[in-house]
Amino acid sequence: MEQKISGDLRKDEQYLITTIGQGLDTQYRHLLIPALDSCSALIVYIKGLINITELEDAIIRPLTVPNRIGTEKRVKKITLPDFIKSSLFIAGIKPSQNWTEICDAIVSGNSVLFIDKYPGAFILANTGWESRTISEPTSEVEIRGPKDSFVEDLVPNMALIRRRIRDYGLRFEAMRLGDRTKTDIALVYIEGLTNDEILTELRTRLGKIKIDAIIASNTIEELIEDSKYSIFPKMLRTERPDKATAALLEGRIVLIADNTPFVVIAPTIFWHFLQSPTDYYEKYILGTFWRWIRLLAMFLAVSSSSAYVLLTSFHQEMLPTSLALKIAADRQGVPFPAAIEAFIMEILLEVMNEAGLRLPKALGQTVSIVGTLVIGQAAVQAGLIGPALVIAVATGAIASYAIPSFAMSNTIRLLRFPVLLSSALFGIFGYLGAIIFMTLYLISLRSLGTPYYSPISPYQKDPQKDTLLRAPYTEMKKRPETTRPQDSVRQPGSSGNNN
Amino acid sequence: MRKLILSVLLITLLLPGGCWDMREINEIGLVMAVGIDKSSRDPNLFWVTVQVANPQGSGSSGGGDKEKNESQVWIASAEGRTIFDAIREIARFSSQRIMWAHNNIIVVGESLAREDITPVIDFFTHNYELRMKTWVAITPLQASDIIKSNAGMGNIPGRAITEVFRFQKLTGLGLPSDLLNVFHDFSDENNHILISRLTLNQALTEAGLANVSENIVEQIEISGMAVFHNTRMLGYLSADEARGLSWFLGEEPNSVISLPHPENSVKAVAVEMRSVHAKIESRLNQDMPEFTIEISGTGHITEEDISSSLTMDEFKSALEGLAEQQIATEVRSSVSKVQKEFRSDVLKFGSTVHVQHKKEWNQDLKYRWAETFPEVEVEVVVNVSIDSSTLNQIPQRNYKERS
Amino acid sequence: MTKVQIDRMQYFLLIPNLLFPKAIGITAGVTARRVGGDAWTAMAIGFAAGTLMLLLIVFLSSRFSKLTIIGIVEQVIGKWPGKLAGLMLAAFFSLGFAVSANVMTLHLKEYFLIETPFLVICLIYILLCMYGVILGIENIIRYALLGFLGCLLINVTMIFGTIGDFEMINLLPLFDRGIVDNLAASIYVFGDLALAAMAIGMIFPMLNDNNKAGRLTFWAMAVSAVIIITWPVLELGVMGAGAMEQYVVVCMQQIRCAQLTRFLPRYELIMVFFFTFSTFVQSATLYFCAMYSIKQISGIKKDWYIVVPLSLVLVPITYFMAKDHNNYVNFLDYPWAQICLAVSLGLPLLLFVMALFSGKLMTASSANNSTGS
Repeated sequence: MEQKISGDLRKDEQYLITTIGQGLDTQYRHLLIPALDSCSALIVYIKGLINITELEDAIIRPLTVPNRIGTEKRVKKITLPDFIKSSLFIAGIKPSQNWTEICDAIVSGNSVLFIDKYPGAFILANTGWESRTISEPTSEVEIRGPKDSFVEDLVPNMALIRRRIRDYGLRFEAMRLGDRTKTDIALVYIEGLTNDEILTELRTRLGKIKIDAIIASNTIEELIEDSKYSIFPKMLRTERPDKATAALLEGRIVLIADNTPFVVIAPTIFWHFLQSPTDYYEKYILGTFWRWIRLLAMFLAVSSSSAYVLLTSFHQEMLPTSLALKIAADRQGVPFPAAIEAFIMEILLEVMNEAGLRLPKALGQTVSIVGTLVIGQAAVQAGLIGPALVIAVATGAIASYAIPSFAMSNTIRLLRFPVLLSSALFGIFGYLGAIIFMTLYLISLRSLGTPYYSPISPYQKDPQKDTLLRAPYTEMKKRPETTRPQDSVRQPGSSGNNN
Repeated sequence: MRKLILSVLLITLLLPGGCWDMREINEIGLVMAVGIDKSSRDPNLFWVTVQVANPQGSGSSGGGDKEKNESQVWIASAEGRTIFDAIREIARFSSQRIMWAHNNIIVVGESLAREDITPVIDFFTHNYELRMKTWVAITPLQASDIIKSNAGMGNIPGRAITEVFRFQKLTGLGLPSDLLNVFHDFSDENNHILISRLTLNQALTEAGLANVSENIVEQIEISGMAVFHNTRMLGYLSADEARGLSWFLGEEPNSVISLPHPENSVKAVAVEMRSVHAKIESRLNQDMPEFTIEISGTGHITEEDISSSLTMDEFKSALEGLAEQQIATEVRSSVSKVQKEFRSDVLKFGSTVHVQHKKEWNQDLKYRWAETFPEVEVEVVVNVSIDSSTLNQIPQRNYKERS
Repeated sequence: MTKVQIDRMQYFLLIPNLLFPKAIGITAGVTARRVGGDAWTAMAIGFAAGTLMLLLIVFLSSRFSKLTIIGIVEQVIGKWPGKLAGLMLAAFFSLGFAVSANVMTLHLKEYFLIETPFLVICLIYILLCMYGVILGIENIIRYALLGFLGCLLINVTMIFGTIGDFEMINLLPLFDRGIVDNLAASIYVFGDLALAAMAIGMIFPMLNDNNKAGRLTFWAMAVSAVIIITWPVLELGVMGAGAMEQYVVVCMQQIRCAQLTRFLPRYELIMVFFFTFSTFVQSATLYFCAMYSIKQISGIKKDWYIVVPLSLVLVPITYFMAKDHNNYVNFLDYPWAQICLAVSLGLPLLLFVMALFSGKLMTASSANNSTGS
């Protein structure tokens, strides 16, 4: 790569062919420029990554048709770069002498213009590839609120955020990760709001990444996480620009990776996984209520099947007598102990869940019918499993879907198994042991240096307004301290004057 | 990695040994009621009868058709040197493991109670499965007869008795005795035990209209209370006498008293007493304590068996006087029966003196309380205010009669 | 180690957690066996006296603000007495841990896991505490909030479940056995207070802001006293002194008497559910203190090297202490209460007097600031 651009069009072309190849999509377009005394030129680009019409109308046409500037060049001796810049009808023109930069530009979807006898090249930004248009979010559906979602392209994604925050401090810090994929990453934050320490920490962690490929944003997430072996997601992934924007305004940092419609938000605390944008779009009382419902759902998801095992196999005294008799009657002749039964059902449920995700839409219904009818009803009717267990397992499964974050929901569903195992071994002691073990672990985690379980523990007073509660906007005068924002005031004092 | 190896090791160590306390709900027999008697064969043995719920009888949802005649409960008896022994004996032939946690009632036969109730109280307070809010009752019959017989409208007799006990408050005929109260009085230095008495009564119950005569079955009923001194039972208070005590010992008894009508003493008026509160005051009169039982409550006229021309005010004030008189009489007779006949302080008089005259009690009275208690003077002051005539504005009128 | 920071809220919440689990059941029983119906007044007196003692420790600790109690001994008396005190405290905390762990294990053994071998219960519980210690005191103390909420929830449910059977007459007359007996019985509360006091002596330097720590401690003690004294009051009121004397784990017996409506007649399970969190905080904190004492006198850097052998020692101690629960309670009766009284009153008073006479008390904070850190 040390080789300089010779200015000899042939040589340069040869060089490019050896570097980036001469494949189906790589195009070498030769032309003569009349304005430069029919000097020959070469445009290199990749088909499919550039906007062909723009290439034709804004680049090739001005170059091939004699123009006024061409005449003036001869008279006033305008330099070649100036000539190019003023002749072409295109916004991004960048002269370059560096082969690496040029090659990168070509593979990222720019056209590069070489002119004979000139030791350099012009990178012309006329990217334009087929991409998905902005559509409704699919994995985080909300009834209220904006309906747009991030797409695979970096540029429209940045625009989606910029459109929402017109603060001058909004920064998109560019970064390129992955030796081979050379994925563009944007580090988004608000200057003067986001805590510098956190930002520096994130930058150092990103800087340490040495990897060949970044396929999706979660690769980065895993590479910069705090406790790498932990099961809990410690950064929030979202496809909703409103969620990302809100995070930015709380002083958190958003990472956008090219080719991923999910952005990563860090630092994220545990409670963020229980919050959903709807909390803010509806009245605060409803928002608060839903948060508690989700907390309950999380508890149910972890422990409903364990609770069944606890109550039917260990601590029958806790059941009301009539319920105990009912369950006992239903369990007559059931071959396995409740614990094994529960394990079988839970595993089956996970299998069905996984199958449901993969199946084509048309088949999904069949599976759900087979799942509910065959596995559920038939097994109960045949006396293979107790009906109460089916209720317990189903409750747990449904509860796990009430958790807004898909990543957290999966984690919680997986955690049922150790809790169930431990409960089956030691009854209430096993259950509590598992719960303590898990919560203790949760408490000890950190996300980008921020305690994961804050602001509950360690306790901070002000952020409570937006953790398990959703205070009315008039009360949330400050940003949550958990992210230590530089500018903590949301609503400057003397409120109530003219709001 | 080290953590991983450690945890895998631990799990493999625990897995084969785990599940010590696991017992499936369908493998345990839930005891609904238990009766304890002295064995008729050998007075040193206990005769224990348990009523175990049969879940298949009490209805399963997924089972489909089942035989109608399948019994709701399974009854078994066994004898043993200790109660525990007897229960182990039952375990020898029961197909399910006996579990006490859902037990509703402990019935003790009179013969055992007259000898010593300690083993019963000890066994059931010693057993972690049993809860302290279980009812306790004494029966003049064999406890096993009570356990075997039917009660109320429930499917499972043991559970039905619980309901009978729970609604005892409505009649006020006695104090509900649960294990907690009994154990409290048993272990207290001043109090003595009072336990409900259960008998069988040939009440007519029309369980099915088809063959009425066959459905006249013996029903369990609560009637009166057994009075203990220390660990032995002395005798019974009848249901009415028990009410005399419940006026001031019970928790807000809600009972109905029948009073003679102020205009015609042959006919009656029913007054339902509510929010009855009682206070026991003690005074010392030269080392001899004297007690005043103050009872206050509100009455609601719920039935008038004859029409009258009284105004409501006259009617109420007449009834107030009558009610006060009747309650006072009831209390006095019960108290004097307890004092003179049983000479056992089940009235919490000792505790009252202890609280109100700590010094004298600790120095002197405590030691001669057994002799003093039967002799103490008791004054009863009742204050009834009738403040509602339940829907009616004036007493029941009949203008035809008057004209 | 200097990185560990505990904020005021956590410190405040830690104190009830350190006192609650054992006091409500086992200590209440021990006291009732001594003074019957006066158990609650005796415990209240114990709390009042204990608060003063705790305040003395906090005063000493805030004077020598960057030193643990062992450090204070070293500074005031000398290096070797300091090591000796450290050794003593390590033993004290280890025993204290066993006492605290057995509160949990006995609950389980007597009421839930009858057939599970006691050794297994001990082992698992100790492993759980060990995990807490490895994660560090900061995380254990963060758990205190959950523990405290648990305490409040048990109190509320217990009160609802038993208030129907509460009889005031059982609590009266006040000071039935006389003030002297009450005072004598109040020492049993020190079995709990001493652990808390010494633990605070160890943890206090980690407090990030010890401004007005005395007042904070006082309020924490007041809150603890209220939530703890509720128990003997209701236990006496519901069961009566006679029944209370009978049992090892009185709070569980109380819960057996409770009934949350007819539909939920039992709630031992709920009780243990809420109770475990605070017990865990207590045990893990004591474990940590034992480890930290050893660390301070031996200078071993890695926690692992202390925690593993310590666990190996603690398992048999815990197991044999409560294998026969009567021995356990007898041990609490004598000599544990007396040891606790001696340690928790003797050590701070000795230090206070020594520091006062050597004049280090007044100069301590400034001297410490210049030499320390």
